[in-house]
This record gives sequence, C-alpha cells and structure tokens, in this order.
Amino acid sequence: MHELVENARRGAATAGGAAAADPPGDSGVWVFIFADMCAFAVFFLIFAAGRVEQPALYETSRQALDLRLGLANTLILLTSGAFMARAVRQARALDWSGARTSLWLTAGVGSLFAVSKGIEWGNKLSHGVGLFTNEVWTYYFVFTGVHLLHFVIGVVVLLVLIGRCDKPLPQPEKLRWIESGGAYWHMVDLLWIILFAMLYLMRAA
Amino acid sequence: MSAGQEQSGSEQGAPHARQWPVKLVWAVLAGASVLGALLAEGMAPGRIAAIAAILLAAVKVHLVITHYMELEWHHQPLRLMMAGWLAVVTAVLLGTYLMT
Repeated sequence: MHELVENARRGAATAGGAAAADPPGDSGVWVFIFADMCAFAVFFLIFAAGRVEQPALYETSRQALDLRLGLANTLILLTSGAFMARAVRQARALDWSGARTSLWLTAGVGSLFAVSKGIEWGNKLSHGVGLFTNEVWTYYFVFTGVHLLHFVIGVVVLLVLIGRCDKPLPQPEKLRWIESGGAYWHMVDLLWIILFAMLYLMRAA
Repeated sequence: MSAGQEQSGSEQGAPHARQWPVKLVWAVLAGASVLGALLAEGMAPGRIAAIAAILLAAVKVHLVITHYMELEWHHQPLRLMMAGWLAVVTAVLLGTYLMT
C-alpha cells in the first residue's frame, strides 16, 4: 500500500529520474527551508567578510571556543538526524509504531544539543565573555542563538509529529507530515554543520 | 537502530533504492566531523586544516541533503537550488579564507 502512497504523491518521477517530481513532504515547507537557509547564508557571508578585515581577532576568539563541545554538539545532531531519517523510512513502510519510537529518539538525543549549548554558553558567560565582548562573540551568540531557536521549534514539531503517528489520519497525510518535519529537522542539522566548521574549525594559517 | 528495521523498508520497495543505509550515512558524517576536529586541533598545518574543514563540511551537507532530506536530482528546481546554495556558501568561506 505504501507504493500507492508514494505513487500518488510523487507523480511524475520515473525510474531513470529524468522527469521532475515533487520533493518529499510539503512544497511550502521547502520554500520556508530554502528561505531560512538563504538567511543563514547571509550570516556566513557577514562572518567571512569580518574575518578578512580582522583575521587576528577572529583567530584569538576561535581559540577560546571549546572544540570538544562543538564536536559533541555536531555528533548529537548527526545522531538525532539519523533517527529522523529512519523515522521517515519507517513511515514510508507504514511502520507507524517504529516511526513514533524513532521520533522519540530523535527528540531525546536532540535535546542533548540544548544541554550542551547551555553548558557552552554558561562557560563563556561565567568567564566574562558575552554578546558585546567583540564582534566575533556578537556573531557567535547571535548565530548560535538563532540556530538554537530553530532547534527549539524543531523539537516542538517533533512532538506534534509523534502525536500524529497515533491519529487515524489518511496515510499520505501522515507521511507528508513526517517528511516535512524531517526536512526541517535536517535543515537544523545542515546549518550546524556549516556553523561548526566556520566558528570552531577554521584555523588561521 | 536495528539493521533488520532498515532492511525491512527497502525490502518493501521503498522508492529511494540508491539511498545509503542510515547507519552508513551517520558513520561517514560522524567520521568526517571527528577528522575535521582532529585536524583543527593540530594534526595538520592551520591552512590545510581550515581548507579541509570547509570541504568536509560541504561533503557532509551534500550527504544530508541527498540521504537524510532525500532530495534527488529529479526534484527540480529544488535540488539545483540547494546545490547552488552549498556551492555559494562553500565558495564564500573558502574564498574569503584564502584572502587572509
């Protein structure tokens, strides 16, 4: 039956992939996701341009970041994202119980990101490093703060999706919800991948 | 994450036959993240570590788009837009870094 669900939703896709097809989930969600990614691209551009102007300041500030916490945040989000990807595949196979369990794991593991981020911010603030210390820290707190806001919204979306797994909704509708929520959750993951490289890993020459 | 559960999806004819198993995607993403961190911590000269970090991030984002978001090349124009976004972000980070 899930093949019927897929065929109804995807329409024009062919085995060779030559024809255009609808992406997974709701197209409106994809518009939002892409617009959000473009907003973050502006963040990345601002930060990169600032580094060109003051490379020494950016490197000194980067060295004050805790690389291990940054890596932990990355691994947490990647693991959470893996559970989300599994939830979508289970939903596509109409395994709603399995999908619900995977969504719980997505939210549970993902929640560690907020804990880790709280520890990191707390450490910085306790050492007198704050939003207005210098422009690098302004960018750091603003960018990671906006990203954390997206993360919190994602957790709320996950809780809604978990509730939808048990509701007697049409299968295509439930699948579309989970695919849409999954795409959003992976966007949070994807943006952190760039933030991690840009803020923590780009050492000066 | 049991292998049996993952396999059951593909056995039932999931439409994304070319997609990697979730565990394989996760392993590559996690491995690339650890490698980038090790390079940044001093396993490589600064410039090499930074360039590797940008390129590894680009590969990771590509994998997330393809295998987690499940956007394939017939999902046009969205897939092209995402690829363009990644190319622009990578070029900006790499280009501005090389200017310093």
